[in-house]
Amino acid sequence: MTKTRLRIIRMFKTLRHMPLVASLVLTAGLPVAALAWDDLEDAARGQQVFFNAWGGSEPINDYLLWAADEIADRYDIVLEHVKVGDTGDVVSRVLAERAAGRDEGGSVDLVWINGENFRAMKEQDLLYGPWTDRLPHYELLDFDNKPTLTMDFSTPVDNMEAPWGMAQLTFMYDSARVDTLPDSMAELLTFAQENPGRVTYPALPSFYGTTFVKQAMLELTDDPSVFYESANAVEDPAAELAPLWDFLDELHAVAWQQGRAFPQDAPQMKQMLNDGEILLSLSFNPNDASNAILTGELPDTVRTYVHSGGTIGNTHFLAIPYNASAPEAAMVVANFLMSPEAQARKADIEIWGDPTVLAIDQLSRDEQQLFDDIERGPAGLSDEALEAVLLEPHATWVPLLEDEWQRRYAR
Amino acid sequence: MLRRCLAAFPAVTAAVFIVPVVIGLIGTWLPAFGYLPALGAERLTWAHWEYLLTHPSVPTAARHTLISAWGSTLLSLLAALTLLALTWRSRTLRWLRRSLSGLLAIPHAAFAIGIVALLAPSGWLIKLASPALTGWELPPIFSLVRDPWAISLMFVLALKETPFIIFMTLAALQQLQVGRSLQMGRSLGYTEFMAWRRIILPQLLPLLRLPLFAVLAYGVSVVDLALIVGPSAPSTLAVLVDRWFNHPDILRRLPGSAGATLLLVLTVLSLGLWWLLEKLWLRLSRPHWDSGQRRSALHWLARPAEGLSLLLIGSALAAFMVLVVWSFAFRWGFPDPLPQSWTLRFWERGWTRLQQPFWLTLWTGLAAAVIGLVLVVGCLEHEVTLRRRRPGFTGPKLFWLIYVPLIVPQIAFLFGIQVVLVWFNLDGNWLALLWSHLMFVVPYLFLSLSGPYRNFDDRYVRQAMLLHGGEWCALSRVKWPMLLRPLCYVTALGFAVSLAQYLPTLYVGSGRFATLTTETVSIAGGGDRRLVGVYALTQWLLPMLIYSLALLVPAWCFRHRRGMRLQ
Repeated sequence: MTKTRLRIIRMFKTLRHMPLVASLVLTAGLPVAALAWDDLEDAARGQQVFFNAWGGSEPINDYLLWAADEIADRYDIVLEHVKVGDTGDVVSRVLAERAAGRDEGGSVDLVWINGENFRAMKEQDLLYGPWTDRLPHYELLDFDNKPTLTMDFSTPVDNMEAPWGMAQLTFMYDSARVDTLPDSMAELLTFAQENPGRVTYPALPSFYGTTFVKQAMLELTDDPSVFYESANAVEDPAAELAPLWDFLDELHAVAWQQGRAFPQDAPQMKQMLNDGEILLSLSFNPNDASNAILTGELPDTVRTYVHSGGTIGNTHFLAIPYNASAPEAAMVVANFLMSPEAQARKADIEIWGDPTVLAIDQLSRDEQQLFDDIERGPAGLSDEALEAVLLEPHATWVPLLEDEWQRRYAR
Repeated sequence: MLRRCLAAFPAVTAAVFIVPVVIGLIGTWLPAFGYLPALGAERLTWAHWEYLLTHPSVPTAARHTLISAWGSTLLSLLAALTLLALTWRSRTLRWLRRSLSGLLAIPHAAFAIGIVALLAPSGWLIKLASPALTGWELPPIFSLVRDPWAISLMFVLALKETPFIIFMTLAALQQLQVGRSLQMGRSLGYTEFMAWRRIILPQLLPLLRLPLFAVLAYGVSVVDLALIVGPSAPSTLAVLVDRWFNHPDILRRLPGSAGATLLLVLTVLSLGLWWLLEKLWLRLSRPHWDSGQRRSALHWLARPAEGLSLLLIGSALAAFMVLVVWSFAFRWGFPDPLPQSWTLRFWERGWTRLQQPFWLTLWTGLAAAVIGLVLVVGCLEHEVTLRRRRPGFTGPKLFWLIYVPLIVPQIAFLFGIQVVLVWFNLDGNWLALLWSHLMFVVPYLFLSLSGPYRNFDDRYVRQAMLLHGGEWCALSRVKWPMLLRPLCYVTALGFAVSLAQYLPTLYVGSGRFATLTTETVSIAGGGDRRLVGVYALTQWLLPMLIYSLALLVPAWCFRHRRGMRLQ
């Protein structure tokens, strides 16, 4: 009696899942790579995506909550934001999974990544893909004007990660305390000498610190082109870097704590700017200051500037680990996060203020309107000011910089 | 039956917690010598040790580590002992005892963040004094925190550890007959301070060895505190190693493993040196014990000791207050003594954000504390039954192994454990998370419960067994109710230990579990002190609540029993 009843219940359960079963049967033989986008969206239904992303900012966490709600409604996908302190932790976890032989069913489905972490994961074959060219919103990306969409810190992206937002080294200052702004690294040194103890940058190997030093490296040479070649191909890399170390020696002599201590990262510098401990801070997001003014984190007299010779710009991306449990759903999530709607909301300084990766002129009138409606923040820069973008130097220079910096200043 | 059951406890407890550490260590030692097939590294080599030992930052980083670990251990021991010796039976001590639970509940990171917000050049203290007293419109350029000599790190560690040492000393003192010793000393004309130094301290130090080992080992391997108040160019060795484990260049994990092993070596050497110094001190000072000197030249310490206890409680209170003020601030710049504008939004948002982590932390902490308590009581009770049969028995010889997780730096074995858990498909599993917390909860419980438990007068139990006959009844109706106070107290301690676990939650949880601590650490990365205030205070208030319960429950249970009241 009970056995029969059980069997009937089971039959009903199977029936309820018929569409799913059908799609499974249809797709079972096919690898994910061969699915058409619509089928892929179907296959992704009901999946759960563990999105590992830095969790230090409330505006960003809030934005991801909004995204999770939208994604649940539209695609029946559960988006879980796993708040990480350091992307390196995520790389470690994927690595541990590979060491233990878990080549599928991994704990990370999507990871916020760029630069060195991307290069390392790509080189170690820890990434899934190529996949980004399959996303419908891939077409909308602004490849013409944003070369960093295809070259991430001199590593070819090769469609292994999906562009999410744009970044550019931007300086912040409090206009109530500072009148004349440095327009180059050389002027920054003069500024520091005039305001001893009030200028600093994050310690390497924080990528904020590394970018500051790279910026100085590019500005202080007569021929920056050498830094766009592999350092291994350059005859005497140490000689190329000599002007940089001279500059940093001079800067540290008048820097915060005389260069014997450094902030950890840019968020800490933002606090120090608020406190008046330092007069200049830096960020990768040109709208960071405006957003911080709105949330009360910085005084409303804070403004931003970039060097007229240009500052380093790059892109941050979304990648899928090679052993992700739900690569289909991760792709659907990435595609949503690249949609004009999600990108416009992300670019709104009242929400987050992260610049878009899309080519706005290719969007529909309505979609363009979404971006036009965004007000420029109190500390925002004009598009012209942000036009001069320097590309990241070749990745092989980074270990040279880090090692020598530690040998000189952290011993 | 009960006895046979008990016999299993030490073996089970040790096995469940030691085996993983050993596996984890192997999982770290192999990469240190170049074996990590997941990265294509399969040849044994010394290269990573060479990299480590010739790295320019390592010597200074190791010096920072040793200064802060040794300095904080010595300072906190000195502070705890002078404080207790000079305030014994005074009102100050009673006051201190009462605030001890609040002090013990402080999560390290929250305390350090509060201290920085207080003492930094733009901290609250200078804000209060500026510009009226100092004339400063901008914060001064000298800094008391994050100094390049690791002095501030040492002091913050010492401040944080002193309440723990006081707590452990109070427990140890119950085993010594302090009152009688002091009386004897007085009758022979010794000042009380001298009696402490000559009679009590030599008996006390061996009893404090294990807690001091835990403090010393913690000082060597601490990462979060060192990031917040420590030096930055270079940082401490633990931070350096942690960075290598997170480094974008994946291959840095190989020298990172060597560095983690070096941390372990430093810890073991430190513990050995401590043990030697303790023996040496006892040997060398013995001839002076009967020198006949009755007074001490150090008597002037009495006043500073009171000052010290004030400083201790005061700094915790001030760190707490500054976090409270920040958590309600909207705009707060320099040199405003108070925020320019206030808001409730960070609490409102924080509250909704923290609900899930709050409950997860609560249940995990309670489960870990209760399971830990059962295991530890089982082990201790087993010891008692053995002693009944074999007088003079002092516990299974290998039992010190249970302290291994406290002494081995977490970075040195967590990666290995993670690999093994993934292997068995146990990562991201709540039971595995609970177990990883237990690894640290059990030794702390053992450390703090063994004193009171071993000291319990066995004659009560024998009497009860005579009257009733059942061992179980004797335990559940007589012994455990009489020990209710320490039992409750260590449960609260176990809860606080579970709550504080960051790295184990991260490594074992596979990002599936957000606790108050992981949320606080990740939000602290953004540096927004108003949010950090909300998160850190929640992380502080929860264990405080549990500690208060641990005080109130016995007080309520014993409200009709004068003999069980706290003296």
